[in-house]
Amino acid sequence: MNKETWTAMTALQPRLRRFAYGLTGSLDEADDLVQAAYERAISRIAQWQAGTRLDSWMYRIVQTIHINRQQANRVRGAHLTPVDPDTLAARDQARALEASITLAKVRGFIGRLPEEQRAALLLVAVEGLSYRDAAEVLDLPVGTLTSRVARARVALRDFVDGSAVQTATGGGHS
Amino acid sequence: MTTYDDATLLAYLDGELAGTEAEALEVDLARDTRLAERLQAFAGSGALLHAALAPATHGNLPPLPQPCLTERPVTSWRRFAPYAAIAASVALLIGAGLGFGTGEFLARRNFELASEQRARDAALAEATLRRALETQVSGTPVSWENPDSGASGIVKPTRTFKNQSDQFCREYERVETIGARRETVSGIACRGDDGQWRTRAVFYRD
Repeated sequence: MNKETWTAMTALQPRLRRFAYGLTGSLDEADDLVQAAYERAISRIAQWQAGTRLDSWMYRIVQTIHINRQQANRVRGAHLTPVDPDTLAARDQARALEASITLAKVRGFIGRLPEEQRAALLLVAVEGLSYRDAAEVLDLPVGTLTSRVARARVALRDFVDGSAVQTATGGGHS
Repeated sequence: MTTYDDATLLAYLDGELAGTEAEALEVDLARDTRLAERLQAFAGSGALLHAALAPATHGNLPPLPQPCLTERPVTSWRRFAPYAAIAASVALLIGAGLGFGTGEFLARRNFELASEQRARDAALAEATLRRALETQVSGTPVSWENPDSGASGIVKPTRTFKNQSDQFCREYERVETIGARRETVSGIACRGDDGQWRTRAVFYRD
């Protein structure tokens, strides 16, 4: 691998970590996933075609490893149920930042989304990929990707509208 | 007036709507508050999604596995080739004896130095943001620079408003140049009763 490619690759780490965080719901798992993705990318760099998007290729590797792990977990019957962030928040000090409790709720929502909607939502709404690029990462027709993103975003809006999340924007009583 | 479904609003939000369609929607958005509110609901919940995952992009990043880079100082190896070969095998033996190679040690040390600088960059950026929010009128940029890392940034409050809890809130923009990377972030911070500014939402524009 040449130095320029590696520099470009390392610059992606925060974004890949954010994507992995959204997929797994935990920073530790995200770091583990990103680590594995870099290992795979380094060993398979010959498969990346210079001139194509390096970020799409890396997102795809993260997603693929995540899916493989999910399946492995399911086979072993050790599928982890996501921790309810509300109970975690309750353990915090009473004056824990309202905003961060709310954000934990949003993370809880992400964790409860169907797997295929979650990745689509993260790539488009957080990572800023175009519908076409995101569809390529997930190996889907653009139409399928678009409707998954739409379903997830409508659900997110309804969740935000209908829950105490509104306090995050400064509402509620003071 | 045209009615718009959620899918169209979302396509607009994601920059996926074709030029004329987007323009027509913008005309309607300007005169239809209900429509603008629907768009805002999507944009707002999207911003929360961003903010919820932002912790992953802050703070220290764990070290990455190191690749074998093709650009090595090969000239010096050629010049001292016979000695280098011996030195290399000795180094390998020592490395094997110690249980890890010097490469890993150096990479880790470089990482520690880099993350120290990154922490300083972040602290400078934070301090500058607080100062700008507290003292600058909207539209006035304040800059910071870390001469040790070469990183620099500009913070600019852009709009001031009061939220429903009667706190002052300000929208701001941050542009940061760290190495070859330039990142533009806009955000909203509100001033708590304790006088502390707390960021309520951030939007990354990579």
